[in-house]
Amino acid sequence: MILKRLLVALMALMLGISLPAMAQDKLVTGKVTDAKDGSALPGATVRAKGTKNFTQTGVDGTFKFKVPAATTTLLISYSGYADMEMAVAANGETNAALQVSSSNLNEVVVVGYGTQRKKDVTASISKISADKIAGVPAPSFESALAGKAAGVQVTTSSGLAGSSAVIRIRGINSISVGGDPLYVIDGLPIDVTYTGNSLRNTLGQDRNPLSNLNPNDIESVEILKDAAAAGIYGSRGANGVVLITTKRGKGGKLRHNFTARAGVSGPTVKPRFVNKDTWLAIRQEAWENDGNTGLQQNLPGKAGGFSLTDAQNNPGTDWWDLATRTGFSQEYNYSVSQGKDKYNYYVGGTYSNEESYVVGNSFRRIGIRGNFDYKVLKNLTLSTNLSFNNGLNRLLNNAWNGGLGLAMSTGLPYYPIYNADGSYFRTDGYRTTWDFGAGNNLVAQRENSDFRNRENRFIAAFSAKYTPIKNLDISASISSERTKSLFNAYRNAYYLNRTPNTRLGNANNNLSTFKNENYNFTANYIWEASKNSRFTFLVGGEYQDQSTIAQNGYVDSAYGPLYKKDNVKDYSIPGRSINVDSILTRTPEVTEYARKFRSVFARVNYNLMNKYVFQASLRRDESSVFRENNQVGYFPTASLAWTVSQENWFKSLNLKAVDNVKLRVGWGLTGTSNIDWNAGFPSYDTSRGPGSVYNGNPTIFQTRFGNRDLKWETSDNIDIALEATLFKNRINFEIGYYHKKSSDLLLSLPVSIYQGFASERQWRNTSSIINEGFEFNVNTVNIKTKNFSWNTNFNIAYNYNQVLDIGTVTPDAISGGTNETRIVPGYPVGTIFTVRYFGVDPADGLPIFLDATGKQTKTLNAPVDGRLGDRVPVGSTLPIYNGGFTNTFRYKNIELNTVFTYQLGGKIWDNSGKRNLGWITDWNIYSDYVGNYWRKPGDIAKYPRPTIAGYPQTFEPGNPWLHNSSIQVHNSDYLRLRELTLSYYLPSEVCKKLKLASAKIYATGFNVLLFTTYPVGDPESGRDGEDPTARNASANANFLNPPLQRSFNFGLNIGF
Amino acid sequence: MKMHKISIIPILALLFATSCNKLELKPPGLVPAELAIKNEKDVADVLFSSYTVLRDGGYWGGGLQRNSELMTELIDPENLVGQSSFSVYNFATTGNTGDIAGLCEKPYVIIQRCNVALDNINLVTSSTAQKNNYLGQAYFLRGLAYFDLVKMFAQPFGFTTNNTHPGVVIKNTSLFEAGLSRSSVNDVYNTIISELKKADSLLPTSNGVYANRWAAKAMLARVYFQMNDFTNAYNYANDVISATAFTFNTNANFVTNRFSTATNTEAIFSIINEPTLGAAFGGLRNDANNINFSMNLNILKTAYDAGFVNTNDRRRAWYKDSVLNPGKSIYGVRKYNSPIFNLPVIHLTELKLIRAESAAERNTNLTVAIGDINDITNRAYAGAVAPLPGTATAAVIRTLVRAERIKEMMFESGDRLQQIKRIGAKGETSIIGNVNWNCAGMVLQFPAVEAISNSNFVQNPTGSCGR
Repeated sequence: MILKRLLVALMALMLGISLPAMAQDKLVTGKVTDAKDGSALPGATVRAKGTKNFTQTGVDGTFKFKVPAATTTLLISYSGYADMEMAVAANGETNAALQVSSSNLNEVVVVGYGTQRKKDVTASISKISADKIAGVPAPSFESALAGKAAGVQVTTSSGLAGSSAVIRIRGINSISVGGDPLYVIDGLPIDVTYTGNSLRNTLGQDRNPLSNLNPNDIESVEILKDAAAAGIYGSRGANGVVLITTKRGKGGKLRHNFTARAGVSGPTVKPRFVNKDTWLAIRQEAWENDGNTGLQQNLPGKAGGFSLTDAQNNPGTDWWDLATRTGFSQEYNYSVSQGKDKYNYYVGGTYSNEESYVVGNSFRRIGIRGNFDYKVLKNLTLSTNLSFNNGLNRLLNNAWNGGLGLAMSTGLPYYPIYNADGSYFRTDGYRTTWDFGAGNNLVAQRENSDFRNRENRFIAAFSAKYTPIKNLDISASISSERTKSLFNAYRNAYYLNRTPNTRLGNANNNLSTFKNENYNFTANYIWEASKNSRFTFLVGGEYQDQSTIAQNGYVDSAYGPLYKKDNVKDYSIPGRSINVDSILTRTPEVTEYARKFRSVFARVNYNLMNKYVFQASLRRDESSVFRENNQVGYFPTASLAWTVSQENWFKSLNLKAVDNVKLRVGWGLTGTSNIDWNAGFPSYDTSRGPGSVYNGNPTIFQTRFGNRDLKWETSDNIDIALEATLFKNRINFEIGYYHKKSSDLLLSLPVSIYQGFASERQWRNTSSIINEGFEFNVNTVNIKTKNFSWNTNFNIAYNYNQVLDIGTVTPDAISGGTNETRIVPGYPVGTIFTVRYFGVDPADGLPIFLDATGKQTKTLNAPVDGRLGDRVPVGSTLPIYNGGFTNTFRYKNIELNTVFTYQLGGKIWDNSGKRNLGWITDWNIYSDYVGNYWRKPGDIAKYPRPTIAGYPQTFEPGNPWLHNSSIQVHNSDYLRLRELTLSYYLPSEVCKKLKLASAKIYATGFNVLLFTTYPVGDPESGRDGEDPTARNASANANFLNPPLQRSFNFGLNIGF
Repeated sequence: MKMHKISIIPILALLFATSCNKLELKPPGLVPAELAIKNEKDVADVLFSSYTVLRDGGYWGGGLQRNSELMTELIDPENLVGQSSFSVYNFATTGNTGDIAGLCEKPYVIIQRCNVALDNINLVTSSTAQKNNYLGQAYFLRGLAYFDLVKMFAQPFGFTTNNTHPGVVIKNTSLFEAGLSRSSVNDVYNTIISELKKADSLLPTSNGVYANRWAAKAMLARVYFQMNDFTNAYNYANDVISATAFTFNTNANFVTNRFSTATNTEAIFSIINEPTLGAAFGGLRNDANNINFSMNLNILKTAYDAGFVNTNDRRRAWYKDSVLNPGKSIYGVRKYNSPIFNLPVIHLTELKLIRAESAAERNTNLTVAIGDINDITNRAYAGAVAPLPGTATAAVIRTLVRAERIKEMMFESGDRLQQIKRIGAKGETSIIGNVNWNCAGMVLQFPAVEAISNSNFVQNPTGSCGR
């Protein structure tokens, strides 16, 4: 009987009709609205407390139903909002304004392959809702996650438009393979290839595969942090999983939503360098220090050199000023959505164009998304998600390759832009390989080259959900992702220093096509074994097929970039233009990468009396990147949550302040498998080519060892956490501890010559890392009155990272890109490995170092012949603490939101610093050098005396590139006001008059304030994206990196 | 409900246990061993590929000879080309000295290819003789490679009393083995001898252009001589010289015949110049000055004048003075100036020098020694110099043999440097300018990767010996 009623009620719920009322009733009416913006909440459940009578609100949020005359209180609930009790008003009209829930046990959380009620969750999952992402003028959506989830470290690479961020969840588990989390959009694991495009890397900005996603499409982001959560993704879960759920239509009424945002941007900091006169004076001093007399006659810049007088008389150039501007950005989104009984849909479009403060750099994004659900039968729903995103990134030389980098390096302040005859000035005979032909003139570089990257990402997913019997959902889906990334580079004849009067430059047309097909099937069954005992079973299977195909076309003589079709001239047929398409046709397709996954998985979640929740899962993964017996991996997890506050003994304590206390314990194995698809493949050259012939007999020979025994990296995770809610939801916090040991780490290692393979690298499973840490997250409602509220979130994560061993190689075998970060056993990933700088000898102004044993020396043991020399670990680029601090103040319709982010305990490696301090060549000099360097015997100075010839004790005399020391190590600690937003919500009466459902205007600042001791620029910086090792080890290594962007925007969101 | 529970377990079990076809993706162009080596011919082809490595310009194709010679007293540094050349010349190589990398890499490539061939030797089923032939060649090539490695990258045999000083890594398996340490010089020499003796017992006496039994014996003579083991050196040299397979070339054409494609009756083992390849041995032919000299090396004028004081010496043809800059004569090496030639790795003249000096050292068989040295001088001076009398003492013989050895073997197989080291290790005074035979810098630095990739690896001490 009960069951039947429940069924009827459920039916009613689904169909949105009210139950017939009984006698002796009274009529209550009212409206349920969002407390924040006053918008109507359709489909909210309104129940008469103590009865079974309930109704749902209509499309306009209103309700009207009969309740027993004795009813005094209504219970109002709506998904995602805190439940609310309202006294029935005397006149029967009861209006409720619901608050968005920060901790609601009935809240639904997206987990791998499904959703869970929050009370059934036994794992560590951070949820970030749409409103915390959309509207943040971050270069890419993942950048907006900074500070919003404990244990999720976000390092934005640079201030360039569309630049990527390095996201690390609970430390770094990998060395040579990508440490990025798995990104899953609506069930489809997507392509996140950052590295590999060496041509882009040379420009100083690597690919950001996430930049073309539209943040406004996102309904929520769930970050699966521990094995209990991520284990269901098995071999790809070790670095955490970011689940992105896009918006779907809801509420019965057709809703339009429009947002607009526009603003300006500049750099967070301007690195300070000395001006022309100071530069020349220091250089003269250096000249004299080296034992020369008289004025210099051969200053860098032209053949034979500038004389000091000429250089002084040059008006000089502010190169930084020429390279930067006030960037304008704008973004518009429009969506329509509706949720009906039979169908719902969400269709949205976006356009944005973000100019960075670097002249010539911008990112334009166009996107459209349509998510449709259609209930074909009562128990069968068909869904489709279609999205198309286009990103156009205009690029230019940067960082180590010129552009703004030149303003910080070899673009000296006394160089002019133009010669007297109007031609570009360019340096001659100095660093010609450094900047190709454009001669240290960033204006000439920019005006004579054209680089851009255009990406199209198309995702189509079709799924069906069938419910043959109650509580059993069977789903199947097919998803397909196609990303085409076209990189074009063009350098004209001038840039290439080709014969004058030729218009022809060279052009690259590199097209990468990423294909990703995913098929999955799941069955989810909820078995209410008894009133207090509920099982949720999940079984599923998944098959994924991915490949990247590259077509790299090059034309040596083109009139312009190849994205313009008439710019190509056929090299072989002078004078005749040919079609670009034919270049691509000629260009062979190369499968750069391919892999297949085949997986099955199962999960059981058992909730006993809402007190004990036990969950176990197992995934079996097969991957084509491994060989033979190692193709299959099993990834089990087990976890337990205990809601202590449900225990009678706890209740008997009568702790009024405590609403809910939950303890979680989880264990599991997860893996990482992001290696080259041919990594373990051994090979022979059996082509029997001409070079292999001996005595007329063509021979065959081994070309690579391969490694048939390669297997997944395996992470063994333990997670313990305490969650509590206090003072009627006013405070909720979570404190967690985790310990992860990642073993069999995949390293790409140089092969010893004695193995018989010169210059070969080999993948091996020979390392292990520990990550151990604490996370603390607290949400508080500090003040809550009718007109004023103040909410706070604070989170902090501590992470201890240690490489346990690296097998039989030395730290130099695994370097983190082109800098001094190394992998050193006993130290964290990304340890700075260099010589310790002790100070300056007051007697002669020369630098004093510490040798490997800690003794002062002026003569260093060189790191040659593969020796470590006097280099030692001097700090780690990984911060120890990071987190965020968010405060939301609301007074009536005005809201002020501030987000601070911080990191502590890490170091930054200023890789270019060796060229900016003391060794005066043709590089700019840090302002900090002035007043802090040795000038005469007896001076106690921070920096050594200036020299041109170089310091005698460097590793290789005359080579300033090897002049590294701990003088280039700085604390990377910072506190920044990441977001500052002031919003005004139009009162609902005004909205009503304007026929709007809701409206908000806001002003927002991004990266508004920065507090740091880092003297050179912005300590949040990511230089190296040469390969995954560099991304893991060098998140905080800087080399002329454009500082992050600071921006101010105005915006408008309206719903109607 | 019971049914549900019971059926779910086997279904799950089935799901997790099944594996239909393997998920395989074959990267194009990659051929694993099982597809590459399927039969006897494939094994032979892997083995024969070692000879192409021997021929490489970084090894026997020039690198070995040139870099050895750079460290002798015979070189005029004035026109040296390249930073690497100066590093070697100044006994100051580093792990990044490019030109010497091949001297480490190539021998190990040969060793690995031989290892692979040996692993698959059971595919050779045509005959036991054929199998033994391939086995013997693999052992011979490995022995040769280890010998060249230990000579260039370790202090010589005799540097320490028991030769416990570090030699090179021995790796006689085709498997990947990380973290191996350098074996002692004693162990390396034991390995070389054992390899060559196995080759000696397995190889046929005639084997086309490939290594044969005489090659193994000749190499043993060279190895024992390097160890100052004169008895064994004499015996192995004597075995080969006594064999009818080779004839000492008394003809005046020996100066051109040694490095030519003509029949060379003295060549015991040669690397042949592949006709289809054009000129091989790039490192020997290389001539940056483009005045038709070989090896990019100039002999020091004083060394040339002192060595070839007798104008009748036919070996003067191996060197030539030429005018590089107006008024400036340089003495270039012309030994390898033939357009195409086969390169003898070891020849009868060297064995006669070994036999003669070994006899003199042992003060036995002096008649044989006198015969050997007279054969050489008679040929060189066309009778213009009187032969050594039958009464010559061992000391006189030794002095003459050593002097003639320089002139015969100069710029060949790195012989001069090894003689300096051997004589020093024997206890005699042996210096190059001011530099003693055992100066640290006279041993090459291993390429840096060897130390970087292996924390158990002990790099050679750095030492600029201040030439």
